[in-house]
Amino acid sequence: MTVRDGHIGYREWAAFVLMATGAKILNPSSVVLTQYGKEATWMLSFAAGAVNFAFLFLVIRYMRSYPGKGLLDVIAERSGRWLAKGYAFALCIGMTGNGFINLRLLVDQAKIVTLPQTPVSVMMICSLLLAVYLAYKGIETLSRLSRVLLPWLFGAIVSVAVLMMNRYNVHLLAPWFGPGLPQVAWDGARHALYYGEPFALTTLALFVRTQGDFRRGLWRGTFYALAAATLVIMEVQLILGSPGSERIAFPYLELSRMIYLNRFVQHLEGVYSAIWLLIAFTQIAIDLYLATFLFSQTFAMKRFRPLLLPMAALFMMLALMPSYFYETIVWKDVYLIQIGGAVIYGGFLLAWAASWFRRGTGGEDVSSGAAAGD
Amino acid sequence: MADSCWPGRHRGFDAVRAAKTCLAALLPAISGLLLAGCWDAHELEEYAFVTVVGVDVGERDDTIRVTYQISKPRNFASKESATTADKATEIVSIDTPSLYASRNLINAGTSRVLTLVQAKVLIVSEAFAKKGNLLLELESLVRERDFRRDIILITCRGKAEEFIRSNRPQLEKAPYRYYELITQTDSASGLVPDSQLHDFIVSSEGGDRSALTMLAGVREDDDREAQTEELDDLLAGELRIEGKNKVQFLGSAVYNDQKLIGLLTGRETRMAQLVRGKVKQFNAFVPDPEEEDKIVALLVRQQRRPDIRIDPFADPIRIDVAIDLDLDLTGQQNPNRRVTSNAYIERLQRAADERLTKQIEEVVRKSQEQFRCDFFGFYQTARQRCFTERCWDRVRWRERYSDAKVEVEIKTHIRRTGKQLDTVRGGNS
Repeated sequence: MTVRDGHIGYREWAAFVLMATGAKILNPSSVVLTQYGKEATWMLSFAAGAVNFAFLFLVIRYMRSYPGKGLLDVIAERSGRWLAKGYAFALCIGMTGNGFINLRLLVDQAKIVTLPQTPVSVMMICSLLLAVYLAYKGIETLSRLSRVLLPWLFGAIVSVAVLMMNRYNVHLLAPWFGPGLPQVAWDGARHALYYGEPFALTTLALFVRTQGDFRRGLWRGTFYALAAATLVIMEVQLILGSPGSERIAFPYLELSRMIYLNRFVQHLEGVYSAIWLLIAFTQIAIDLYLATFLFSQTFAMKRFRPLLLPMAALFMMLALMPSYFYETIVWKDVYLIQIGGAVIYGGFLLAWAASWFRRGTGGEDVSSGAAAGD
Repeated sequence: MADSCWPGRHRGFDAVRAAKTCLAALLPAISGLLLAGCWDAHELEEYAFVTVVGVDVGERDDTIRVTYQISKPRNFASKESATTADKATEIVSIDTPSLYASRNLINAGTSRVLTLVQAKVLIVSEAFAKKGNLLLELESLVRERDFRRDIILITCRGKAEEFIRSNRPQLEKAPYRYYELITQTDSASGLVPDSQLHDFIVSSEGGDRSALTMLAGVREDDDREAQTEELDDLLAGELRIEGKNKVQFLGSAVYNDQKLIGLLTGRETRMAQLVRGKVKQFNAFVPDPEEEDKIVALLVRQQRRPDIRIDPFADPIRIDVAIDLDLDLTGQQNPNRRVTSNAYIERLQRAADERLTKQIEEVVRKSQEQFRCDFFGFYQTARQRCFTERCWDRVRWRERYSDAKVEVEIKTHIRRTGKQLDTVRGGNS
């Protein structure tokens, strides 16, 4: 087999990257940023994206001479097998954390806004069953699904932006630098992992048709996700201001409930909720797929599919752990983004440094990625 | 398998088959569990839809009196011409320790579950609003999943319950529609401010923590005459309008730190709205510059936002407000006046400038001396001069606003004279 056969193309890959990175704009994740950035949250979002892009640039450079290979294979080859396994495990923990927090946010949002009587466990089981099914179908199905849902995601964002234009108040963005430019830059750097999903996605390079497609898709998908997320954050600031935006649990849904057309078309927000649900299920499926894939990579397992159900069960157990809604956001902020960021970025730098030490000696290839495509 | 995207597939791998079998077995079992009940399924007939919520002080210090106006949708659809708003709704009131608890308590005497999903209007009484911490008192509503931030917030003189019970719209069957249409007059007349809960929250949380809401009142059956020569310089409930519905919306309630601190008349509200750039048009009267006992009627249009320049770092703070207005001459009482005269138009413009400037300056003075808060929202422009929150904190806007030097400059331009070029006169004039 050659790497070109049956693999996903540029569009599907870019859509997959965008969905994995950008779907969080519809859930309460942005609260993580608004509490630091205040009026300048949109700048903080860009700063986080810029730092993430810088590291992504390094990763792409690091992988440059190894077409058709994922990041883990390259680390194994350049820096050593055990470092690759360790990094795979760190990414696996990151994606597991991302997945269970997204699951918990989805369920909490549904519980508070739409389904107050339905037990949490039932909502989790339903969401995970759908996610398991989608993840079971593999990256090709997930990518195509992402591509199908992409217009819906952008449609939802753009339509809310246009329909809410009458409420925009530019004054609410002042003072322009919020807590101060150095503070915004520092907090942006600390929260770079907010847009960190592309790091885990670099392990899937071998599933993309060409290296060029992989690179272009990764850049553009990440950039569009960053632009869309920043647009939504700015929109929230323009309407709710600060500190209002820090006190809103579900900014996107709150905006959709304030659309003027709701007076004539009762509960237009139902349409937006439906789009949010479709995208949230896809996002959890992507998280589940990545977590399982990375786990199988860590332990050199040939297939990841048998692990999907146990991983889903783990997602559910972890998602039930936060005792209240805000604790989930704190977990995401402190453990996943700030501490996790240090591990993921630091781990990569360590691997890079190790490759300099081992230069010329060659490394072992643990390339089990292809097998994990199962 | 050479063309497969998934090169690791091997025949007879038991784990995959086992996973498939498990999933196949689990799915019907779980589906059965899920399909057995839908926890949040409700029929429309199970709900009573509240459209108006009224909040008063309770009989005891630790209670509030909550009034719900509940729609009877079936009666909206009735073809009987006699079906009016009071027949199409049910009004219930209760003294309760909190807003949230009130709905359960009301269900003791109501067959349907009360829901706020269709609530359009929130009316708070003057006495309740003066207690302070309005948002804190209404916190449970704002947090409530059914409740929307675009709900209309009204402060009423007297009791909210009485206001809701007195309201008998003659042109609308549905009370929520009545309120929606009434609030749309804000930009058309400027006599009431735009008054959504969202705006109130954003203003109360903003740099000056002051906000305006629409003021409502009930006209009493007495012979009170208007206390002023100008009818728009009144508060809701003071205007004499003959008709079946005695409720009125005129003027605004001024809040500072979520506490009602005073009222603005209709005219003062209009001037405040002009400075805020939120009036589309209104009718104004100006004494004829050449014959004081005659008046000239003008249609004033605000087609550009006011140009507000603020120096928050000066001592005292300096605020310059420049407002450009387009005028249409819509009527004049002098039969010998030729409105096509350029000199007359210029004199009329100057008279309008002076009159409106004076009226705005009076409201600005009231905001600085009486209320000591910036309900015009000048602080929003001032904040733009600051790059950081620390810089804004140093401005100490709330403390220094009342000493600010405010210059108002109105520039009116008479653009049109209606369909008539000249005054309609009898043959002998």
